[in-house]
Amino acid sequence: MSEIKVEEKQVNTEHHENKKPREKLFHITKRLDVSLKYKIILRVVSILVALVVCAIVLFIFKPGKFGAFFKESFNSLFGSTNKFFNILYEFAFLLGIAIAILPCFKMKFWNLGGEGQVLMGCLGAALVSKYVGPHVPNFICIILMIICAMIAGGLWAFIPAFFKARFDTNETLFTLMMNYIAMGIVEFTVQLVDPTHGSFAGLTSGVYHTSTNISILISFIVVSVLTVFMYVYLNYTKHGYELSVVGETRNTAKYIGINVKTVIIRTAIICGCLAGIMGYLVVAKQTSINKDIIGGKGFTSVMIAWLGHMNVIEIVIMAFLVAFISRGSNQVSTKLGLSGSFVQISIAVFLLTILAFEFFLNYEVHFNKQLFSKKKKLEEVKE
Amino acid sequence: MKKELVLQLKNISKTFGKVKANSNVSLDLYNGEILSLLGENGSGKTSLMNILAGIYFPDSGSIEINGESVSITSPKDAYKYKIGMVHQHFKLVDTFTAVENVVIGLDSRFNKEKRKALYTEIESRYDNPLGCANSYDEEVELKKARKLTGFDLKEASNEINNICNTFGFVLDPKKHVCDMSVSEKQTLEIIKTLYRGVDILILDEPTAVLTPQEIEKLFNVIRNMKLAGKSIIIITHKLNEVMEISDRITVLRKGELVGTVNKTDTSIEQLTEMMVGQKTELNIERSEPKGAEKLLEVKDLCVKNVFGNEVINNVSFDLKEGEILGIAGISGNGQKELLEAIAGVQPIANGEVIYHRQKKNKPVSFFHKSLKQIKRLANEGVFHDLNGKPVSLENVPNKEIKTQVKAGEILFNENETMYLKGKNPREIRELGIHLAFVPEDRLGMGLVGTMNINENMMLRSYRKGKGPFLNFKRPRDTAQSIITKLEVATPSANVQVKKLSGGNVQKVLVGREIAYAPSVFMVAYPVRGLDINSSYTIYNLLNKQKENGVGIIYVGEDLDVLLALADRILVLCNGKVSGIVDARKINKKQLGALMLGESL
Repeated sequence: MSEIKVEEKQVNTEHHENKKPREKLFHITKRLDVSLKYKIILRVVSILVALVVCAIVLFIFKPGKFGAFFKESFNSLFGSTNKFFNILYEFAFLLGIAIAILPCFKMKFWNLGGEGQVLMGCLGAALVSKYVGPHVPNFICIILMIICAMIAGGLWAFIPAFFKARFDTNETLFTLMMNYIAMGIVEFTVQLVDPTHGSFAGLTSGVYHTSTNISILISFIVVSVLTVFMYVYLNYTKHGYELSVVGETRNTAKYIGINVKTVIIRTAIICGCLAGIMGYLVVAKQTSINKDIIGGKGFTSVMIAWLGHMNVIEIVIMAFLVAFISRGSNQVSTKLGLSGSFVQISIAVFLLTILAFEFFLNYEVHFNKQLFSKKKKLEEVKE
Repeated sequence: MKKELVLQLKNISKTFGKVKANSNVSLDLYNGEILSLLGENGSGKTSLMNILAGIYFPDSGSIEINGESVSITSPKDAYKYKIGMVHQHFKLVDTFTAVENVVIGLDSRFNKEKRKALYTEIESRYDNPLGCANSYDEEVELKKARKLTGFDLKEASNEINNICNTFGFVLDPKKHVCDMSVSEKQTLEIIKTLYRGVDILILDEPTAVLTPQEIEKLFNVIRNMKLAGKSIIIITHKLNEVMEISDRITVLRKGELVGTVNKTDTSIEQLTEMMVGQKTELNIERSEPKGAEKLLEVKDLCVKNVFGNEVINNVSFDLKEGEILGIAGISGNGQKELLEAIAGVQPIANGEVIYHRQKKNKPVSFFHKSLKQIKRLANEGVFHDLNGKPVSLENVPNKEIKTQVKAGEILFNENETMYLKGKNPREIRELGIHLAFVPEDRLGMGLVGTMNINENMMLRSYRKGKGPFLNFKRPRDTAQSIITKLEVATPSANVQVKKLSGGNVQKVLVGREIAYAPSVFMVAYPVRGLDINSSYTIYNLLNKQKENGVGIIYVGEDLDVLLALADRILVLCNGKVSGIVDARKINKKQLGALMLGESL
């Protein structure tokens, strides 16, 4: 048998000798140091390319309308006060949830349950508004709503965190499934309380302002405060330090005596409470609740947190861009008579393009200059 | 045998980012010779060999095999040119058997062709070329042949046994990798390359994880391969092994070629000079341990791993101040668990870890003791005065005693014992015990790779100070002083630790633990993968700590260093103590026997 092997090998080498030695056209190396300047330039380029790709997608649906995407998008931003506030609301909403799940992500606790935690916050706030609201002054109602929303959201984050800490269950699946349970609970409660409308429509207590624009502004301010709080919490406090150590390596955390279980549960509860506050803001603005009130923004926020590299400042920028694309493509689809799915497609294409550009952040491509010059020379000779 | 040039590297250069791993390195290799590639850490030995093995692609330069210029773009290419490499960290699949690991990655087309040959053979035997069976027997045989999918493990096993017999290996092809010792894994890696028919074998630090006896065995095998006409390149730090095994020696320094010498024309001193650039003293200074006070006492310690197996079994020893206790043993015999159990990282199943805090010259006070007690203790000779002379309070009036006590003139030495079992590192720290620990896994346990040097300094001390906020100033100062004192090569303290080279990572970790002002200092393999200069920096640091009265536990793998550095050596074998010996009175052979569990 071994003779056969040897023969084959000879065939192989002969075969190889006929070929010219292969040379690589390019090779890829990992980047060690990335300068801030390069990072910023790459980001700007990736955003511009992403916008162009979105426009190309529109071009596929509506040939000849390449420029319409840019025109309508910017129109949605600066077109009118109401449009601007709409973007502001979308921005505050996305940013708020992204900030809420950020500490979990920094701890590498993949909390996909932002959607459910916000929804539970909504439910808590709505129940207080409906049943306690009429009997107490408005500002007490607001405080009670916030507290109740925080408890509900916190509980919804505590459950998966407890199982993660105690039994090391997979938090990704757990939090994801908790979303659907939350939706079920909301649906059930709504049917129980208000079967005619199918929602707690027309809540009056606990609403901080009747004017929509001003209430959006207040939401925005609250989210800004939360963002600053989170920035300080993650970067300048002992808790923030502990959770990033736990996120990086469990062994190091054990080595310096951090109680990993406590940190996991504590951080998850903080995430849940912040999500609960977002839930209150939603109820206060919409004055109603149903199971689809979040509309998948919890998942979009996961991507925002991820593409923002768990960095608060980058997350703010990403959230604004996604809000801009979302409202812009919404405007485009109504103007040009496209279906609502166009909004989803644009957001997906936008995020995907930016994700693709991450490659150049982590890797460097070296082209084989010699090979190129050789080819050129060959061409010259042929000519 | 005629010496023929089989391999030539010409002016190879390779850069990673800004780091020049190799610049203009040239190298020749003849058949039937053993070439040692010698150099300090980071001198580009492994990168150069990785280029040869197809893992990296050179930026410039050319490779010639048997006089023909080739380009190697993948490990598969390398095997095509009959080059095989055994990496320092083995590339084996734990849950597979030896044979499966050998055939994995081989071209399955080879097997298909073999199967086809089997079909034609059966068909011709039954004289029926149509492909459908004419008789029952033929059908059965064809069915059997069809079932032969994947690899023919039986034949591969035979082939492995052949290789073993030819070169003198011992390996059971059916054994699972997870059940193998390090030495067996290495054997398997070598067989893997031989099975693929290599003529040029590269071994990356093959002796780093072996006992003296196993090293001897490996060298015999290498010599057999040399006699069979194969060329072997050995990457190593260890000079005495170089002198023992190699025919020629190529020395690299900082990515550049220093020169190639014949073994017969050179000496250890010359090689050291070539490696380091200047002559360094190869002796480690060892002072006599000063104090005799017990610092740490480990009694009948048992530790279980996650599967419930005892990895540390009834280990007892004590550590005195100002001594270095070396721990020897083949890696994986409980060294890691022992240190982690003492540090509070691993739970202790049974036994005690007792810390003795010696408080010297502590003034006695009426807060703790009554006048009567003080008088009684004075009679027992517990107290001494400011000059260290014993104090006896007999016939001294009570008033006089009171004034003396209040003035703090009556002193005593106290031995406070603390039990560390069941305490986590934070609780140990809060007891005021400075237990420094440099774990084996630097980036996985001792440091956080993605954090910068400043933030890593905070690991031990971040809890200090009141309030929820971190103090950034002190860690920054510590980081700066470590960078300057230990000459850490880094652009700034804001660089992520994982981006530093192995030696610098180790310096940061050891520096932080020393900055913690330890009283007990445990280090595991602190010089693993470090070059000579960095190693000596670490040895000197440890000796300095020893002179300051720190008790040091040093887990090492280089027996020469252990013998030269430690005062006593504890040998672990299968989680049990096989001996605690005086390092000044024992030799390497005896130590090797203890490591294998034999008694002296």
